[in-house]
Amino acid sequence: MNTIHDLGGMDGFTLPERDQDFPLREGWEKQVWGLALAIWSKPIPGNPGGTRADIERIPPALYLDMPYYAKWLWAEEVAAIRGGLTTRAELDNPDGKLSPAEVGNFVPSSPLEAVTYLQTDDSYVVPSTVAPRFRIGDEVIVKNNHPEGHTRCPRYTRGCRGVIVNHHGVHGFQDDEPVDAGEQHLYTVVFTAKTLWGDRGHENDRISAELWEAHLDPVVE
Amino acid sequence: MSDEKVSRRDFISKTTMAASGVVAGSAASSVGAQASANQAHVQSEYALRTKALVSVLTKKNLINPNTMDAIVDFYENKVGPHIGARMVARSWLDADYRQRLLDDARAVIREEGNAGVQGTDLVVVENSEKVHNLVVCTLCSCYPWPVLGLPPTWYKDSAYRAQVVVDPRGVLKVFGLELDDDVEVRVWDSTAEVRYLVIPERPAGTEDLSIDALAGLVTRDSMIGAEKLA
Repeated sequence: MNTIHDLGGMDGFTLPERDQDFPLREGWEKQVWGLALAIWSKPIPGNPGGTRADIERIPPALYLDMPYYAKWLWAEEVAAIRGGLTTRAELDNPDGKLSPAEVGNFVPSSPLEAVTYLQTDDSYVVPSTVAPRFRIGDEVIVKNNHPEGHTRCPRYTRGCRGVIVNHHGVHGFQDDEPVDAGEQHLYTVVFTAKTLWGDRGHENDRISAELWEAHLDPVVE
Repeated sequence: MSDEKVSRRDFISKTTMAASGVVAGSAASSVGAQASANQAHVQSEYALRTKALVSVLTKKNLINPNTMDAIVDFYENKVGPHIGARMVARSWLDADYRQRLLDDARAVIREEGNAGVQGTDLVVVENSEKVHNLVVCTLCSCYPWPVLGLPPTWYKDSAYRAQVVVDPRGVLKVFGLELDDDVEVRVWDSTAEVRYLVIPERPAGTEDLSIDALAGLVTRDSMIGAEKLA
């Protein structure tokens, strides 16, 4: 979806000072973080937690104004309501009567389970015998698609020609569409700044993105 | 107090609308203006909403508050940039190790027991006199947690994400680093689950330092590519 989260290349923002403190500064930020990762470590039945797509659906003006962890809070609220774990009315009045969630014999993640999870090997590489369509050194063109759903293909790369410089094997495909994408090889595609930005691009700058096969067309000449 | 209650309801109602696929665009601007008007007030709003969500999930036995604390403690006190800094320091001292990092960083962090959530598929790139690497996630906030800890606020800021792909030299200049025109700048936008760590150039005059002393020189921001080490 072409919303405000897809920020690459926009003008008009002012860079902040580079902060050096531990990034979870407020108590509520720590709680939001702990909550989100606790759910990752052991998903509650019906609620695997907030997603990037949930954050992308935050209205643009609000998105730009929210502190970072407020976006995670938003996503956790959305996910908990969507998963039937709670309701707007309950979140509005948490001290009132609460309906039990239908989660069977679910036991929430313990501290040990969670910390063990955080140290697990979470490689996204999927074993596959499907041959890659492209090789390192191949020239490709990013498809100029603008899906309404979630995509990991940033707008500033679309329609642009680049070169594959790394092949990461098959990684789980994350876009909403095409839903039948199947196993997707993932590549790092490098673009010259001139290709992406025209006259404004510096002749010695290169920008890369990770793109799946479904995002790419071969260059045919 | 009554204002606080109203805006909280407002936010939660929009949350519900978003959950059902309805975008509440027009209501957003009033909330946005309010947020700018009173940051402290907004912080207390977020605190209230967080408390409500955690309270409801805890009462329903869907979450263990001790687990939340353990997770924060893990990222505050166990993992962090000191892990990446040691890898960098060793790469300065050991050319074979450096080459293994550049060839297959995932294998190295597995061997060292540093694989983990949001960072196992690691790629390491190296800065030199002629090449400066810089990492971003324009779409969200992807960052190699197991070797650098949690991303700094500036890295997640809209301004950095927006500008660094179109004007990396301008961003670096604001950050205090002016690069010569003939230096190649490589910006790595982490749009999938691959994560990046930059090996900064080793500062001059550090030939006699131990690995511990060298690791102590390596800053978090230098491993993102946002600064050079002096």
